[in-house]
Amino acid sequence: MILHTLNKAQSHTDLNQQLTNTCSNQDSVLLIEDGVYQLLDPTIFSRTDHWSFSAKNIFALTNDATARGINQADLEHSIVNISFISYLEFVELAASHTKTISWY
Amino acid sequence: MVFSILVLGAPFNSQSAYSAFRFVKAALESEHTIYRVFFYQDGIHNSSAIATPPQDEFDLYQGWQNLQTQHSLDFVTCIAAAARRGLLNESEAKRHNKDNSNMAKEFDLSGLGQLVEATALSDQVITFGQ
Amino acid sequence: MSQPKIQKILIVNQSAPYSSGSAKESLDLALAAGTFEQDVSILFTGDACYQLLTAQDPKEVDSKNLNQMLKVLPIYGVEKLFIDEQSLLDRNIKHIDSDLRITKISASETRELYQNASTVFRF
Repeated sequence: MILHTLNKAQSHTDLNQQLTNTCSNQDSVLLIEDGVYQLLDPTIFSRTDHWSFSAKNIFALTNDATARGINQADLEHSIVNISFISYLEFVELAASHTKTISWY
Repeated sequence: MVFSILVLGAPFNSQSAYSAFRFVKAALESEHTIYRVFFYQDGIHNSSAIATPPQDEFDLYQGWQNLQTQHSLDFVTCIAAAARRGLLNESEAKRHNKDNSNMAKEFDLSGLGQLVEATALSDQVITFGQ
Repeated sequence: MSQPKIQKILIVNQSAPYSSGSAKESLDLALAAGTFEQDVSILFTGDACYQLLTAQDPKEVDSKNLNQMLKVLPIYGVEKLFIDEQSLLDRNIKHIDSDLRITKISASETRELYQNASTVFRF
């Protein structure tokens, strides 16, 4: 079970594609930094060619989302399987996976 | 869990170094072990002794230095990556006949072997890149 | 603390040579890991395919020849070199340096490389 961290928005198509190619259905994805901007476009999360299609669980770092004006309450309804977490929970998330791969 | 952290980004140029800093702090709060923080590529700039952010901005350089002191952490900056980017400690400055050194004392200069060792001795290595 | 173990290290190269320091700094890590007898695999993907073109002459831009430097990898015990086929196709690259024994792999083999590694470094 791999934890993937992703720090870029959807415009970084090559990076997102690499994650899509690598992510398995046992893996989790954590959006950090600019990665949280992907949450503003819930339509991408229902596409079969997006990494979210394979990922078992999706997380977003609360601090980065709040900093960028992304409203968690809105999103928890429009995207399935998304949880907002703190840095402390980021640590526990990493600890509960076999390894962490960073996509940047 | 024993973590080592690889920092590849410079403060201000990207958020990656800040994210690494917050992760390290959180890991220590949760009583996990940080075996080593290794600064490579542009991450070496985190070890500057003289970088001076504006007074009203967060000083990540000071943040790292305080963290190292408080928790006796092992901060290693890659010697080759640092030298080519203009970061030298006293002995490297002397060795290369440069007038000044500019590395914070909280960081050790060493080779990539330290990153490889950290990889072998930690449960996980987490990279914060730009 | 954990016991030291032989790490299966995967180094993923995705950067072209010469325009940034990533290709060189990735190679430096690969050589260090080889020196310390770790089990190293290197994957070339995306623009890193350009590292493998033949007849490079980077003296023209005052740079060291990265392609030649890659050839010392086996001396340091790093022999598992892979390139993802699709990246070559996408870039219309028909010939890569045959002195470097690089295995072309598919998307599913690439995924396996990532799954099997203990630690992944990306440059």
